[in-house]
Amino acid sequence: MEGYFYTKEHEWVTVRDDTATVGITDFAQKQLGDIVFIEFPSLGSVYSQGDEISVIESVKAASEIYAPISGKVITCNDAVEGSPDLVNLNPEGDGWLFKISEIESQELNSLLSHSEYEEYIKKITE
Amino acid sequence: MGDPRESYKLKATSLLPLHKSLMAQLVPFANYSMPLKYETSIISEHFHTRSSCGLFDVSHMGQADLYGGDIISALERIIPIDLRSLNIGQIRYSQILNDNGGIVDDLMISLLKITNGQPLYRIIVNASCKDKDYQFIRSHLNPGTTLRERPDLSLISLQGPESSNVLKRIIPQVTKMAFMKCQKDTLDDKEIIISRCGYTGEDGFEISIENNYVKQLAEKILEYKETLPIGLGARDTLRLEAGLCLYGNDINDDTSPVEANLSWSLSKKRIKEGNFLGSSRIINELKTKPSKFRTGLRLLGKSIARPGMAVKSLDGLEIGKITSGAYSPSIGCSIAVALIANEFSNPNSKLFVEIRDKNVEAEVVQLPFVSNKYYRGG
Repeated sequence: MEGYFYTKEHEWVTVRDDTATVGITDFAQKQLGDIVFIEFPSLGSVYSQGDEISVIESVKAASEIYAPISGKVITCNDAVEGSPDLVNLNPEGDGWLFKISEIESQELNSLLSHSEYEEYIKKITE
Repeated sequence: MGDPRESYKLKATSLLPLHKSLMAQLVPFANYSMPLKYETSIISEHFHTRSSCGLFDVSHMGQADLYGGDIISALERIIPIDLRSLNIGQIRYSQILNDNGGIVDDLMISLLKITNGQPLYRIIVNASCKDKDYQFIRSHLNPGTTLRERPDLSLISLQGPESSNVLKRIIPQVTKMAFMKCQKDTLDDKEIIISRCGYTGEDGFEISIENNYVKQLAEKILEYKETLPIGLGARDTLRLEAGLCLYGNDINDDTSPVEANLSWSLSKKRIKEGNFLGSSRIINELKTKPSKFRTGLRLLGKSIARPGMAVKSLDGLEIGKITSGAYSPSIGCSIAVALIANEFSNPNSKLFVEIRDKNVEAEVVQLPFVSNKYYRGG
């Protein structure tokens, strides 16, 4: 998972051509259970790192998604809007949530690497 | 001081080892460690129950026997049904009422037998209320009447269109039973009580059996390919679709049965007599309509209404609160139950639910959301 960064709130982000793709981790989707709805941010809206950007509704509860990186939302994943269960099936692939441009790439340094995130999960599930 | 974790130690039903072996995801519920779901998902467990049948462990619920002394007048003082008209083997759904006509708990009560003119009743109450209920009931019993708690018994529930076909292979007599009937039976010489009722809107059975034998029976039922184990997650979406109340969410010590859209369960004879706790409020609400009413809502957006969210009229006035809400797998949309001002509770009325500072449109619909399929016999 080279080039992937993680938050302690279980979002992932990866950057290509100055555009960040954001989703939730496999650990997060397992915790949430059946995902039934995602309240996407409106296109063009600007968020700072750590802002509440979206809400995921599962059968069990609503959970906030926080922006892992500052920037402007330019795309939401239409496929996920139609079939929210894509996030359960492939959270770190087809189940991505949105893309953010005009990012502050130095903010990636404050996030966890794949191995650091794995360590973190191990710690909180002990 | 002792280990602080000790106070958080959860109770276990006799089926906990089975839940673990079936890979259940366990959660604390009413101080018990209970399965939220098993290997697949809440939604697939929901569909399985609606299309085939599912086995639920409901042993956390309170089972108790009541007998002896001048029992009927004491119970009728706190439960608004006509116990004298209850035949042996009949079950009634009712509520335990407080002074103010609020609901202490809702329950199932059945007449198991009459010995020398003395009735023996079995009650089944909510897990989260059982200690409060037993204390409340005992405080209203006459001397000579006993409330015997039955922690020695487990309770399992088999629900869904195939439940009768599955259970008859183990207990052939069940096919002849009708909805809301119960009977004593024996299974490998052990006494069991089978009731044809449930909490899903489907045909189904609840079986009360000694703790020592419940695992064996559950495993036997699960051997049939029609059956899957079902957790509390699907239990909640199933009961919500069936329009059934969850105590603590939809009803509580303040809600009356009339407000809760449960007037159908009140005995007409007892209403006429008016000799039970809270009867003046209840009789008054039946005459003049209650100010609030438990109402079904269908949301037009996909977001989920959660308990406590405000319900508003189209001109933005708060008219009540959501008491239960979920994604309905059977209908494929977001549904909710709310306690709202009565004048807004007519079917097809348009309302708003405030979800995260946004007004989401909703429409009042008749309960239940999904029609029930109880077996009425014949």
